[in-house]
Amino acid sequence: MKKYLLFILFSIVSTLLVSFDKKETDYPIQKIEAQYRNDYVAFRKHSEGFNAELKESEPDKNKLMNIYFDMRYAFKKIEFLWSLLDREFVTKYINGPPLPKLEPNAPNLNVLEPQGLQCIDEALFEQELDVKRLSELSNQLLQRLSLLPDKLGVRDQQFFDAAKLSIVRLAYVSLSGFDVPGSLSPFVDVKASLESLVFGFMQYKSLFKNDERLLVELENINKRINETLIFVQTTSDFEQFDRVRFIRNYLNPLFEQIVRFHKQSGFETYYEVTHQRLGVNLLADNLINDALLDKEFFFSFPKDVDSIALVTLGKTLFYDPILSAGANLSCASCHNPTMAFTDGVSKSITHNGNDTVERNAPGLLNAVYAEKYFYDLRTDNLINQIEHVIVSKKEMNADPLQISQKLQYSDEYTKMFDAAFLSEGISYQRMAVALASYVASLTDFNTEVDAYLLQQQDTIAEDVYAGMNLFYGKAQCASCHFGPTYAGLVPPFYIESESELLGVPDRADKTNAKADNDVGRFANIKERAPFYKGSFKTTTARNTALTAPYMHNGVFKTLEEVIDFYNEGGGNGWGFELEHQTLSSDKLQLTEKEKMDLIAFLKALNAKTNQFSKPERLPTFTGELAKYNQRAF
Amino acid sequence: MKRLLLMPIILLAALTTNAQIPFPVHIDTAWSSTTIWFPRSPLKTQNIFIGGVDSVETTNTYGNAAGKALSKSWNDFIGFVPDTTNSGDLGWVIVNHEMIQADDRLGDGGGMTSFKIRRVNGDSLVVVDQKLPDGREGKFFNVDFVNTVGETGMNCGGIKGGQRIWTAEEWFQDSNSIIYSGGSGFTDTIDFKIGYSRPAGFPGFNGQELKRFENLNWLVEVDPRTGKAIRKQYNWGRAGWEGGVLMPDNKTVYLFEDGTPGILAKFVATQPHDFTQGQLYVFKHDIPTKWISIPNDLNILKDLNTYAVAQGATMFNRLEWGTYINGKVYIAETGRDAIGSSFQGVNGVVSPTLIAGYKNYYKYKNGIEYTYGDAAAADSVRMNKFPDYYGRVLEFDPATDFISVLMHGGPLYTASASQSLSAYPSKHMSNPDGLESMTINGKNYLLIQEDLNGRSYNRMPAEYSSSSQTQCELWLLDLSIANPTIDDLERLTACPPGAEITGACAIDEKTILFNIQHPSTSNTFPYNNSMTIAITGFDGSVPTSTTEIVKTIEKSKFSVYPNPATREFYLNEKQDIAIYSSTGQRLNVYRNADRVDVNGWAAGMYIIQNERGETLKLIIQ
Repeated sequence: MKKYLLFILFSIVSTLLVSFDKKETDYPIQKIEAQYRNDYVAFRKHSEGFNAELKESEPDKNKLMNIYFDMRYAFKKIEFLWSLLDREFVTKYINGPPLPKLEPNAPNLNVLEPQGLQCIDEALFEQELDVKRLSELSNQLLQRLSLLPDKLGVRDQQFFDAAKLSIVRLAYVSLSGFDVPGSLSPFVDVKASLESLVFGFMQYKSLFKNDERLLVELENINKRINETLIFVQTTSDFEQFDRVRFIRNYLNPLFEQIVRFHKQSGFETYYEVTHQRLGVNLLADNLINDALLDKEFFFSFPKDVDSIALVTLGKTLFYDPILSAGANLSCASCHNPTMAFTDGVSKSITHNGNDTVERNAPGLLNAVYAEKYFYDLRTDNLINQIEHVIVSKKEMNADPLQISQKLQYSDEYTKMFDAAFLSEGISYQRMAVALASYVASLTDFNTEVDAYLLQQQDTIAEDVYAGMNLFYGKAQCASCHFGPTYAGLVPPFYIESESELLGVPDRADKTNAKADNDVGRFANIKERAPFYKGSFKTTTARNTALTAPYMHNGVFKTLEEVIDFYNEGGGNGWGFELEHQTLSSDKLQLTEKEKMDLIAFLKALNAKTNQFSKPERLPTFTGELAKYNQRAF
Repeated sequence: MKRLLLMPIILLAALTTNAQIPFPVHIDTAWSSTTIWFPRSPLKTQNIFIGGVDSVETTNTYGNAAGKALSKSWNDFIGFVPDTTNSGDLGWVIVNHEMIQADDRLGDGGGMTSFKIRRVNGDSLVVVDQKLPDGREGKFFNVDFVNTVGETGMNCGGIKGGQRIWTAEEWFQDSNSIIYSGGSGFTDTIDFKIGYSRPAGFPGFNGQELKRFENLNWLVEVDPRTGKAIRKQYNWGRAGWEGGVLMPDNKTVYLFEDGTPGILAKFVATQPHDFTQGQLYVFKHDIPTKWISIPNDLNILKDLNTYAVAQGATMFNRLEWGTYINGKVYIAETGRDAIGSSFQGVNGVVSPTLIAGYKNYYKYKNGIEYTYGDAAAADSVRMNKFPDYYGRVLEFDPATDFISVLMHGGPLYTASASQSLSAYPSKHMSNPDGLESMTINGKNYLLIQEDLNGRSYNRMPAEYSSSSQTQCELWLLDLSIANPTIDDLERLTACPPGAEITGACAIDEKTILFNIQHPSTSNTFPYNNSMTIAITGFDGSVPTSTTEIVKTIEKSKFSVYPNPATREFYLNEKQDIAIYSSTGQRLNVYRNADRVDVNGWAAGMYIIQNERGETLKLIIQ
């Protein structure tokens, strides 16, 4: 309680500082920038204080924790804008996950050890105070905090976009406890973030004092933020907090209001400032479904194509076994639409029928929304992903040039290619683009959960509601399965796909199991780091009730088995002793009722799959390929 | 109606500088009066070779008969050998593929593609049909490493000079299991016996054995005329080589290593043109002779960096490509966000270029000059106190063996909205990588190509830095400028989003070739592939015309000055403007800008409005 009083006092003091600064003009963004500068100075000051306390002969743990909370509070006030102005810097040095990473664009394999506030949080809340470790982290942090230039030149558009991203971050990152791995105290973060936003928006009252409509919007934003702040204070218990209500009734409506205000203000949008896309759609009307994602960032049609004809062509190719060397296997052989584009077996059968492929067939619904593809994240776009499957010796086993030659034996395909690309020609490249266009079209976010969170339906079953709260809270699912994809696509920018090391067993039998020997991401020539050995892409929790069996090797037959595995702390919980496991090894302590609630929630995340159908027939061939005209599909 | 409401705000805005007010979303297009024409670029762009899309002629490989296959991609270095016969063709081009991928027809690992070009109708390039000595016929040829010297991997940079080409592999391999890569990299990992496993051996080393991965990372001489590799240059040492320079004496070669620490080496041939005999040296700037002699012993040569650093070699932070012009060797030192502990506990000495880089950084960070001397600065570099975000371009004088910084990268400011910096983002240079030189109308220029190591610290403008995409640029620097800074750079052309621009190779005074590598796949075909592009017309369009245009700008009146060559227009002063379509729909808003890039704008009419509501018509031809 005392801490809150201090915060308020600090806020008042900094506000006073701003108002007495003679250089200020009437422009809201300049006041926002001045406030940002003050908060940055406060963050530096607390960081120095933290460093100084660690230099004491016997640092006081309570005192350190208090300074840490002040430091964190100051950071959370500027995080929204700072992480927009220099996203990579904040992730690398200030508030990135406490996990090692590889240096990008380096001439060799180089591990970057994590640093910043999340590492401090983790270290500070250990039983024993590790002064050496904390000092190292604190020194690293200080070294990166240089002076700000005289003028930042922040623009209104950046403030509005930073505000939107801040709401997404609160909904999908902060509340899961993602960036407070030690203290598990995200509620203070919510408060600091929202205070910054409300301060910023209120500055616009003077600029729009003659625009009644905008003033009403501003007042409503003010009201919503204040109600949200009150709701946050209803509990400080990490497990008890009602996250479903928080997202549904507060954060999502607030997000909508901010987007609407930005549009109505007439200030330019992100898309009028740059041609560079982000995974997030900064003009989304909600943060619940795929409206929040900019599909063009993940896959966009080439210019000068008939996109409908292109998807139709891609769909035909998807079901056509002519693509495989033996004309016996199509994409649909392992990706069946009735099972959310999976095949129900642990590992699919190879083209020659006498072996299995390396891994479980992943579902394709909403698969387009990823930075990288395959369980080992080895390709960075859908076109390359498709090419890998086609030339793979165990899968299609085909030769790229031969496929395009084969397709030319079909007048129907020739016409379809010409119609799709608005110019003549069948090529391997065009075939891959068509298939990618079809896979990218396989999206669906119309589930019961989405409808409820969007307030399109008033009620939802009690067990689903309870399961959703467990998913976001106690069961810690949402700290890796982020909304709205519920996969490893990281909010709030949605430009990076994560992989995790869970310690998946080689068999479902706990007494005899060993960690599966598939090295996962480690097989990529530039990712041979020990922490990637056995690390696999975080796939979506949507449609999981349709995609059994589970995990990269299909080891678990039911969702119950999967949840039990997580509940026991993954591979380490099974006794594997994996140094780099990223899943917490602690038991989740879920009750049987809670496990059933989680499954009820997952089932409510199923799309309706009857919308995806096979083509009625496949194109015919002439000449020596006429023998394939009766091919099954 | 909305316009009227906004008028009082606009008037208020005119009274202050850097005002930020919304521009109307729609305007009435009848208002604009003055029309400005933006001519077509005098530079002609052509797509020459698309990696992974164009097919190549293969040789008999791993028992598969010669035939056709889709080429590899990830185009990088470009080598060029002029045709000095009277064929009428310009010469042979050879392109690196920076990748590692098993392939039964093209050969495992990386690779190269060669072809021959001719200029037709004044300034168009065409790829000509050829029949090679081995009987292959076609336009594009897969360079045969498999049946000659053994495979390569991650072919990145190289050396070109006169009639000779070498390819380099920076990604240093240290185990067979890594290059095997689960069967997707190199399928053959048995030991390699020089001169036995594959026909091309090397005088003095034949019969010696290497682990399979140790047969990578040597410079390899290749012949674009025959589409074959000639020999691995075992006597130049194995290291993370990125590039090098062949001197006009045809005896001396300088070699640059991409690593931290990275070394600078020199090979001097006994006889001109014969690089199988000679002496290898590694640079050590703090001894009178400047160079350490390296024994011609395969055990030392196969890990040259370790040996050289133990002998006290000069340590750089990632040397990349180099070029020779006007008596000097220019080298890109691309930098690295953290040198880490790799300079600690080793015998090597910190390069004077990093000492200069650290002092420059110190001045920006603290606002005062560094006064503690070179030894203390070297210690700071060693102790990982130098976040080398930007890198630099170096100048090496072969006559004196003196190395210095030609130009520091920058602007070196921390997280900010970029508009506060004077000429940013038009003037900046981050992580120089590819380096080439050319002479146009008697003047010497450096072509500097960025390859960003990250987006933080203003390496990307704030409006781009959130994205995972990068914008790498190709800069032109007039070498007659004394002590150049980033303000002296001219941006030549922007490449498609997400792409690294690399391999720039001047064919003559008229044309350069360059590659775009790993562009965003959402770009329009073919710009979603790695590809080789030609730009022609430099002889007719002096790149320094920018300075001429800037001189003519009338500051007091709202006006626009097109620069067709750089695809930018300049404004009379820094200001906020909005761009509208011909129907009056707002398309873009630029704040505090004095120049606007129109690269990628469709031809047609646009309206430009400033913060005072004044408008101009701009017609892009």
